[in-house]
Amino acid sequence: MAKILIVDDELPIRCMLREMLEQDGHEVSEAENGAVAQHCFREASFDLLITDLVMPEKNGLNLILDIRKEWPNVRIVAISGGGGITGRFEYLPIAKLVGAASILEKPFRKEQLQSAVQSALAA
Amino acid sequence: VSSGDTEIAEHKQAPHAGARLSLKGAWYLLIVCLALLPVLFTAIYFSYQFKTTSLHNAAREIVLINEEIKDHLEYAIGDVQAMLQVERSTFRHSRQQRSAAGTAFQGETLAELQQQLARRFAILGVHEALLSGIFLVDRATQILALWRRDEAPPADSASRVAKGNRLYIMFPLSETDPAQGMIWAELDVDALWREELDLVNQEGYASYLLDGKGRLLGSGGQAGWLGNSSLPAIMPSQVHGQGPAGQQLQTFVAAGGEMFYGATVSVAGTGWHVVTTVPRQLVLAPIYQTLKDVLMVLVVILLLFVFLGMRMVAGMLGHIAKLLGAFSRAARENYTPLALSSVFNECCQIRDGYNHLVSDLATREQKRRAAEAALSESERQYRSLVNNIPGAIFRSGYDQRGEILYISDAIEAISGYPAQDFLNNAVRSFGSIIHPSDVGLVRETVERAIGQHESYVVEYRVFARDGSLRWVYEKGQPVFDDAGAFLWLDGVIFDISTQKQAEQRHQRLLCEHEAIARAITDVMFTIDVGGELTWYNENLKQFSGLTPQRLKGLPVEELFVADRRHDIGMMIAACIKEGAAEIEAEFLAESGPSPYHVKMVVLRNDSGDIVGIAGSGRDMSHHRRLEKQLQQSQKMQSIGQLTGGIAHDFNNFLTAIIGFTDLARQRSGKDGDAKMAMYLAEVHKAGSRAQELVAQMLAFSRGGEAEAVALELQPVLKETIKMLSASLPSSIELHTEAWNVDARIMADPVQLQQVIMNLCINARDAMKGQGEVHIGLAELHGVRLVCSSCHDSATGDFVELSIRDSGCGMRREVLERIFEPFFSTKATGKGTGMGLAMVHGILHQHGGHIQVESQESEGATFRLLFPLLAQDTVQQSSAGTAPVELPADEVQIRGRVLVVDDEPAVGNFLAELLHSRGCETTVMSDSQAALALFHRDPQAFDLVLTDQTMPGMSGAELAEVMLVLRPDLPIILCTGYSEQIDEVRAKMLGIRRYLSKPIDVMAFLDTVNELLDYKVEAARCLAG
Repeated sequence: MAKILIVDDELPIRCMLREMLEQDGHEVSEAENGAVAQHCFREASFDLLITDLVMPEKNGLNLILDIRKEWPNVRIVAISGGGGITGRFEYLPIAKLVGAASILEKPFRKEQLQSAVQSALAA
Repeated sequence: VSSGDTEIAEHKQAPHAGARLSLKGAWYLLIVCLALLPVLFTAIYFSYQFKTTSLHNAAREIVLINEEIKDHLEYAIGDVQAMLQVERSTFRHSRQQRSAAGTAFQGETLAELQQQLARRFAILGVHEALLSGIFLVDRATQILALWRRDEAPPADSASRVAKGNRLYIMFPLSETDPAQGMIWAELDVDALWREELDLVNQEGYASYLLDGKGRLLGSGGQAGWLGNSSLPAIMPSQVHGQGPAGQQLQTFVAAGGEMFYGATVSVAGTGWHVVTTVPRQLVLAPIYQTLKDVLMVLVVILLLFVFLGMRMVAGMLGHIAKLLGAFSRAARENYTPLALSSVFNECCQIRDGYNHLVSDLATREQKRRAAEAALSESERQYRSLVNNIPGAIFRSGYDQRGEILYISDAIEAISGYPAQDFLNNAVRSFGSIIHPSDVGLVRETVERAIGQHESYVVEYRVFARDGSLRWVYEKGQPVFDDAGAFLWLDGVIFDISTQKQAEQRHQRLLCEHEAIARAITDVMFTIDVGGELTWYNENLKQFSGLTPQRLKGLPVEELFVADRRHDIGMMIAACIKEGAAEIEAEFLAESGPSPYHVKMVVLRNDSGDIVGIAGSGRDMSHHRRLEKQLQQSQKMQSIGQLTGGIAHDFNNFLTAIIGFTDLARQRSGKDGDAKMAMYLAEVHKAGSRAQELVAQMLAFSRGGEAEAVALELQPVLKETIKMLSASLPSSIELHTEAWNVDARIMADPVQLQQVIMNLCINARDAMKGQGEVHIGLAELHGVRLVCSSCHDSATGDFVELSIRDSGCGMRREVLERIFEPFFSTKATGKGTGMGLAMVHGILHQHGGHIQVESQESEGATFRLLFPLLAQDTVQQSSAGTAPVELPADEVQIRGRVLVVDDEPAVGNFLAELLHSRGCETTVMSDSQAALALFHRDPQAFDLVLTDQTMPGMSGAELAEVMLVLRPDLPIILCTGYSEQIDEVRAKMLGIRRYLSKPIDVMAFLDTVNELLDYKVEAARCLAG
């Protein structure tokens, strides 16, 4: 079982993820953007970070960069619905480049999530 | 005028010819000379006469004195001799007596004798004083008896030799027997001389007695100059000729230099000489005195003569001076008659002649002045006429020197050189300023004109004084004498530089006009106001396909389609009214009607009258096509962006929908509510379909996820056809044409299958169950194409996959929209409208393009063009090294980026990030080294990304220098905290973007993409 922090600006998705992960026995915390997530990391320790990429305040890619710098042992799963503010870039490959262990494209099935979490924790 | 000038010139030159005496001076000199000559002659004559007379008188006086003294001395001596002879006789007689007596002379006898002697001498009287003694001596000169007046006789023998101041006179007592002794007489010379001195009583005269040896025995008179001098010292220095009595008058010079006249005479029987002298001064003094008096008189006469002569000359010359003054006045053109009265007839004649002359001159002068005034007026009029001519009038010879005889002042305005410079080639010849290239032409023209006795015209260039080149026009005429001999050239020269420039400008304009008309791609023409063609360019002839004969005078409207000819006519009318007009009309090109943009403007002459219309026509078909392509391209791009943006949100929604549906189904499954499970299954199904749709939308906008590998199309195609066969009814024939292509492309095989399947399914649907599908594969090299979906042009080597069906085909309007998302001609529910949109997305993600050809009822052909993979890439790919650094699943950023950050970790990360997006990156950790690198080739980078805080040189400083080297360089400045620079200041420096650290990766990538896109656009604009 792992301590997981979910970061997504969409509350329904955070709820859904919490549900799915808690069903698998993980200890889950939530944050609505990168800045809050960074605060959470200072408050508590986590094994895994599941973060959306396109978010207000602080986006997922920058969050990943900071987490990799400050807490290099934390595993990271990046999730994204594709597109973006301008729709020009697909950020998931970049997330992988900057340190995400697994990436997951929205929408995803629970099995896909489980697989991504497992592979990230195993990495 | 000429002669007078010559005289004046000579007159003026006279002072330089040499000094001349004045007439007055000459006359005075002559008078003085004439007066002096007789004075001189008279003086010389008188002085000669006086001198001769005086000398003669002096000589006579001297000779008289000499003769008297000589006679006196000889007389005295003769007396003594006579007495001695008497005494001798007496003694002899006595002796004979004694001898007879036998007595010899005894003492007492001698005493007697002595007494006798004394007695006898006493009788002598006058000579007593002279005779100082008488001696009787024997033959041994022993004195036998003596008588002395005062002293004893000398002891030595007596002889008639004078000794000292004594003279001894001896006689033998016997004339036959000398042994009987002698008788001597002793004379006192001094006493004798004293008697002579009485004879020398003339003033200044002196006499001297000299013995045979020149010794002075005595002197007297005014003498004293000789003293005791010996005779040689008074030898005469000059003999003046024979004087009276055979004596010579001589000049003696005393020891002190004083000169004397004198003569010498010998005293017979003694050997003595008597010399008598008189001082020269004493002789000549009266002569000098007389001469002085005579000269005084002569000088007085001379002065009188000179005075009178001068008075007379002055009187004569006064008239001449007056005459000279009158001439001088006449020279100053004052012709007043001369008022002169003179006693001299000649002067009056000269006066009359002069008055006649000046009267004549005054008349002539008056006439000359009148003529001069007339000439001056004539010249003024002539100059006025000449100077008003805009050209320079000239007269010149034509020989080797080409001398200008006359040229008017206007030449200065043309050449900048004053006319005097050219006159007689004073400073320069006119030929020297002609352009060397034109000299031959000028010479040839003029020589021909002279040879053919005709006028000539020539245009040539001359160098003006300011160095500029002027064009001149010369018109000239050779002039000949009656015999036909060439005299000179008369002509005129005009400055035609302005006209020439205008002409050249006109010629250049014509050439430019012609070149433009040839270079321009439009058709150009001019028409008259009636609308008929007067000129057209080559394009018009070429595009219309009409012959020049047909085009000549053709109404311009006939160049356009029939239904627009009226509009063209109206356009011409509007153009004449408004000055310009434009219209779009279909031009009747040889290849068919084509939309042309026609513009016309009126042509006016100098008066502003309309003389025609100039027009141009531009083929707008290509322009229209490009416009449409652009619109289409922009539409596709905006739809893509929109779709991408929507897809993100949709995925978020779908994540929640599908996720919660899964959770709900999980929970309902546990509860066993079958209906709820069915409902949730439907929700899940709809969610999944929506997911696919969103995936297709993303595939359209970005191409979706792809795993591109180097592959050959042929095996993929075969596999796909195998899969297709199952879904195609047997009534549709699937033809695979001969594939001999083994070239490779970079593609995702799954997406490739998706594309082929999609197109084949569309073909199946278009054929309505029956028809043929041809699938072809070809390799194209160096093709140029326009994409039917993105409407971009592309050039290069491609692998072409073509799918041709025999279906219903498409209308043009349909064809234009088939790649738009959600556009479908299929019935609702049969198609999503995303099929071809996805094909578009995938093709372009692979760097390819698509071309569609279709006409309604004639089927359609889709050509998929994939870039041909280069051989080395194929090898690399086949070796299993996949291009990890260039994931093909993303929008790529192309460009060369220089990353400068003093922290290598940050720099490398940013470089890695950009490299993963397709950029070429260079990382430098030292700003100065980065500047050096950039300086070597500022064009080597498309973008510079720099940190602000760096040692040595800050990012802002670096940016500032780089922008100097290349002002258009896009620079991104990254800084964490900076008091030195903020965004506004960065912008002022010319820095495009300012990013705060920590860098927002998304914003960073967007910024980089935007700046590089901007650069690419700018490059296109420049290229365009």
